[in-house]
Amino acid sequence: MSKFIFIFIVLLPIYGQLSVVTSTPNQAFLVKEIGKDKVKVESLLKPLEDMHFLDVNPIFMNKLYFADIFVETGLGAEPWVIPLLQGAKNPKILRQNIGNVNASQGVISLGIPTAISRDLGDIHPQGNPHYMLDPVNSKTVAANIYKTLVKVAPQHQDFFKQNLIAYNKELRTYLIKWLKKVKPHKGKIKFVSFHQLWPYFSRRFGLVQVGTIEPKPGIQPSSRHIENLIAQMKAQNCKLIIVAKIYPLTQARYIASKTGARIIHAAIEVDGIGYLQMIDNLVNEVIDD
Amino acid sequence: MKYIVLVVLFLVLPLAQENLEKQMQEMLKRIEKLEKDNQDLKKQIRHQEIKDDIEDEVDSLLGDIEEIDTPTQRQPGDPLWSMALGQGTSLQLIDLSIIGLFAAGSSTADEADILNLQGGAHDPRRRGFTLQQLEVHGEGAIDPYVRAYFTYVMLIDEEGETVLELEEAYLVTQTLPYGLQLKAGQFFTEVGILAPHPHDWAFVDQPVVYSRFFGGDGLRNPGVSLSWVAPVPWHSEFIFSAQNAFGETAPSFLFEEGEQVVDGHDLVERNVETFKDLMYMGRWKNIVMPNEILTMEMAYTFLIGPNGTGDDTTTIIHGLQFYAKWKPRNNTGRYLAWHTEAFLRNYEADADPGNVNENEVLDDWGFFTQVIVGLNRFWNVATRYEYAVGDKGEADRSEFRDERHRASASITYFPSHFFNIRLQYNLDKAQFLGDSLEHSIWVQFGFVVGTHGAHKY
Repeated sequence: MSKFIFIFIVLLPIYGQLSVVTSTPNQAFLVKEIGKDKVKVESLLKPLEDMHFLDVNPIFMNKLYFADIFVETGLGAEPWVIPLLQGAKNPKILRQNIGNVNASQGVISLGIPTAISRDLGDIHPQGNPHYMLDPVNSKTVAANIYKTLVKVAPQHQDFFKQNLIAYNKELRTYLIKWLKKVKPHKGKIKFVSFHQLWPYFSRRFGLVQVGTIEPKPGIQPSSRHIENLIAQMKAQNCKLIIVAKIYPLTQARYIASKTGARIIHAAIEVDGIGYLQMIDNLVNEVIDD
Repeated sequence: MKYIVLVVLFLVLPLAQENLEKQMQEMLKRIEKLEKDNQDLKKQIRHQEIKDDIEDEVDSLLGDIEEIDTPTQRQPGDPLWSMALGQGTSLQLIDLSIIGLFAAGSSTADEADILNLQGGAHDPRRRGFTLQQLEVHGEGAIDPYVRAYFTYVMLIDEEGETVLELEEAYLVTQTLPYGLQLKAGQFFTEVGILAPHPHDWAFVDQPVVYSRFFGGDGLRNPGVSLSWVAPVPWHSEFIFSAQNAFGETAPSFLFEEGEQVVDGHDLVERNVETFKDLMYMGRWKNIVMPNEILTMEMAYTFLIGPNGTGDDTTTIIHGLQFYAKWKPRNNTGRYLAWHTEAFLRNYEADADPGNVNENEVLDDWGFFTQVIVGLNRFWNVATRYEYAVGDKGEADRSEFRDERHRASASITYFPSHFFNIRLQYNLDKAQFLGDSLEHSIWVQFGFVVGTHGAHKY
């Protein structure tokens, strides 16, 4: 055992890559965009998992134990972070320490509740945490990641900056393309979603949200709520239902059968494609291009 | 001459008309082209204007793409007060939650027998309604180095008395190097994988072997604990703790004067005079994830400490635990968990002053094994089998050590993350019950007010 530990410890610096653990796959994508071959990155959450409900599995503590940097979503989205950090016994990635990135730093959050009560369901007092669905926020998140990468590995600053600028340029190109595409549709596309996931996306691309299948965040819909929603959709001529892939389609299919609405089963975390490509697919699907 | 002119005109005019038509057609084509060019030009101008607008908008949104510190543009319509919190600042001085557990039910066993069958202090222990516990839990960072945790528990016991307990109050270091962590204060001894708090269980009651060896309230006392995570690719952790051995929360050790734990041996008062009078625990746990969806944990626990039957008597407890959880990495809520824990206790009991009982070593052991199936995000079902027994002949064993079997099944519904309803059936067979089998049905309501805690794995 001791020989194994010795070899392991000796090999770590030779391997030479920064070890970065992120909460979400989207964050992992941005880390890789900026860090390229200088980083080894792993997301704790998988693309089809809900960011609010990761199990406090000691294996994840083990991943954090070896991490140089940990990127978390912030805005109180991940109640599992503190127990995992506590169990990881790695001081450098604790909050406010050098290797911890609060990705939401600098993001203007939407959906801050006017009252904080569980009467309102499973709300987030600091605002809706799904800010990565507005690609503009990815620039802020990328900058947050860049700053920490530079703090932890200042010798690669130029390399990281060059990659960050390249990402921002690509983001700019995509953003121009998307905004041109959605301009004629702004304010005309009405939709309902399963969960209140889309305020950032709909604000950026001019969609109008009519309602949610969940009556309140985290609360299952009653049949009366579904019928009311159907009536509302018919009254407002709403023909689109967006359901993130982490949620079931059962209720959406029923509503679609009554309203003739089309369903988008949307990826909200990168899964085999890049983040900008994922947003591109979303934009195309929404305007039915 | 006149006729000649007419003939010439007759021949030339059609030719001229043909040319004129050609010219007119060309001119029309030109006009069409010019109109098309004009439209294209207008389109291009409009397009350029839109493009310029959008590029301006994008540049305004993104700022200078080479400037790292450019803040994201504020959006019109954002309430001003959202700026402060929205900038990533949070007020997190203390997280507070109140967790309630209420039960109701009935059993074919007598009220007196229910007390023995349901050994946990928070178990439903009588027919009718039970306030199992109202737990107030708080935690927060004291400073960058230490976090504090506390838990108060209130309950109404089987005699209708309101009981208030300081269940836990301890500090945990955050910044020790080399994977070390120190805990100090009043805390549960980490004897097994089963979480110490009833609201984390899949059943309404505590396993029999836990009630027998660690008491109705669970093994907890003031002390210190040091843990170390080994730098290996799986999770390998060593925990060592030293705690007081007396009080009602340490029944296998010094416990309380005048009480009985094992077959008629009265307990005497024993003070802490040397390190031998404290209770020590060593634990080694290993957790592996052979693939994306399977987690397995194996752990061994060793406890040693004085017991109150004499001035120099010792209790040793060995524990083995195994836990495996299959859970797809998606949001369906489906999982399958298999959890087994077994304990062996060697209790060195001194002779009583009046020599009613000889000095002897009493061996007890017991285990529980349970399977929990998450059907979806709202429902789970669980089943459990338990067995516990002490040595000596049947006639000489008290109800604390006799042979016990219990089989349980439960189904739980979670309407939200903060509320659950559980229905449980218990089938009990115990030596003190004679030949009869006892059936019990319990319904439990659990809720959380305040901070939503993380899900246990």
